[in-house]
Order: sequence, then C-alpha cells, then structure tokens
Amino acid sequence: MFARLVAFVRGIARRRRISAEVDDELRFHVEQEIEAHVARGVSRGEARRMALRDLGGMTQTREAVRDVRTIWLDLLWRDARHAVRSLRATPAFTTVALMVLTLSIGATTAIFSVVDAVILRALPFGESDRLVALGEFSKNSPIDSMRVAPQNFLDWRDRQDVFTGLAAVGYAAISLKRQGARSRKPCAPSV
Amino acid sequence: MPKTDLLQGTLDLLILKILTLGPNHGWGIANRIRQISREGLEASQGSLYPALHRLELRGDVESEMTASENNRRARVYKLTPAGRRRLAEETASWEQFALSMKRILQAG
Repeated sequence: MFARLVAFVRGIARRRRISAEVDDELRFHVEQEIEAHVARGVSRGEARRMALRDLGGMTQTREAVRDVRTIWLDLLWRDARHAVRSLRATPAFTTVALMVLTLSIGATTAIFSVVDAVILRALPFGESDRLVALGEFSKNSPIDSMRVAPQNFLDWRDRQDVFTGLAAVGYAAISLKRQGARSRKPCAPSV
Repeated sequence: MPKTDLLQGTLDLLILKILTLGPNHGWGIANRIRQISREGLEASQGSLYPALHRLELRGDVESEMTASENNRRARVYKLTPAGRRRLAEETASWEQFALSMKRILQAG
C-alpha cells in the first residue's frame, strides 16, 4: 500500500515528462515492428507502409495512455484553466461579479467581527454568565436607562447581600479647552 | 490459429508474468506473448501500452527510458515487489477461475 502511494506521488511528478516520452515509446514500437517485418523478408518500403497504416492506431493508443494517466488533479486543473479563460473573455461580467463578491464578503466580515466581539465572545471576566446589570427605574419615566444615582449605588454596594460584588460604570463629558475654542467631548467610561 | 481477445485483467497478468523473465520494453513484451503462446495470444499496441502505464501507476511495475542500440530511446519496464505479490494473487485467482470453468464445461 505504501508502495502504491510512492508510485502515485512519483507518477504525479513525472507526468509531464512522461507524456512527451510516450511518443518516443510508441515510435520505438513501430520501428521494432518494421525491423521484424524486414527480418521476415518484407521489403523495407512495404514494411514502412504497413507501419504507416498502423499510425492511426498509434494516435488512439496515445490517447488511451493519456486517459490512463489522467488523475483527478489533471481534471481539476483543466477545469480551472478553462474557467479562467472564460472569465478573461468576458471582462465586464467578471468585474461586476468580483465587485459584488468583494463587497459582500467585506461587509459580512465586518458585521460578523462586531457581532463576534460584542455578543458571541464572553466578557473578559470569569463566569461571565453570572454577570447581571442593575439599574433604577422610575415609574414616571418610560425609559429603561439602566442608571443609578451615585449615592444609591453606594448604598446598594455596602448593604446588599445578593451579589458577590457591585461596580458602577460612569459616562461623563469633559470640557476640553484649546486656544480660545472650547468643546465637550465624551470620555471613556470609568468604573 | 484464431487470436483470442484479451480482457484487461488477463493482459495485466500476462505482462506481469512476462516481466518475471526479465525487464523489457513494450514491443519485447508483445513479442514474447506471441512467441510463448505460440501465436495463440496477441496483445495489440492499443491495449498493451495503456495496460503498462496503468500497471506503473498502480506501482506494480516501474520504468525508465533507456537508449538502446542505434541510440533509439525505449521505455523499459521492470517488476516491483508489489508487482510480484500481485502476480501471485492473480495467478491463483486465474487458476481458480479456470478450474471452475472446466468443471462446468465438463459437467453432464
């Protein structure tokens, strides 16, 4: 079985050289045939004529040998080359197709990266499935803002015994001042 | 003497056997088949060479191009150990097959 594998690999490497040498091999056969006829007393001219008659057979033989030596890799390669040639022949279609593919793949990848980072990957905490978010809700306000007043947070943190720990995240805008201009910029959340 | 057509499997068997007599090229093998079978069997060029190449791809024979006399290039085939094993197997199968045929043909 291992010998088969070795022969297969060796066969692949020598394929191109072999197909060129098949012609030599068949030509040798025909020449030997001619010599055999001549040795039997047939004239060389007649022998050559007989050999030429067999030439059609030689073409068929060459095809048959090539069929035998064709492996799936050859077929795949042949299909690939044909595909490239066809695409080259219709540049407009190929360009549009490539653009569509590029945009689609790019967009999908971008969207997935975000989803992956935000949703699919666990938060970088141990046992992130045990994290919950807490907030205060006012009956008067319809918005679930998930905020808490700072003092309430401190009370919660010091007095509760439901959670193992509480932390608060703060968002604030800070004023940046540059020569004369002043602007408020959001700053990174502080915990 | 009518020449019998050779099935692919039997041609493989003949080639492997002929090669036990020594490495040979395609024409030599065809000639031997004709000679030893006393013109009973003949392998045509169209079936012999595909069979040889197929055997080589299976690893049963290996070949190399040599320069014979008159500086002509010939591909000489040689039996491999795997080929010898296969020859033994196929010979046993063939003898079993021939025995079965004989039994049926001689029945009744």
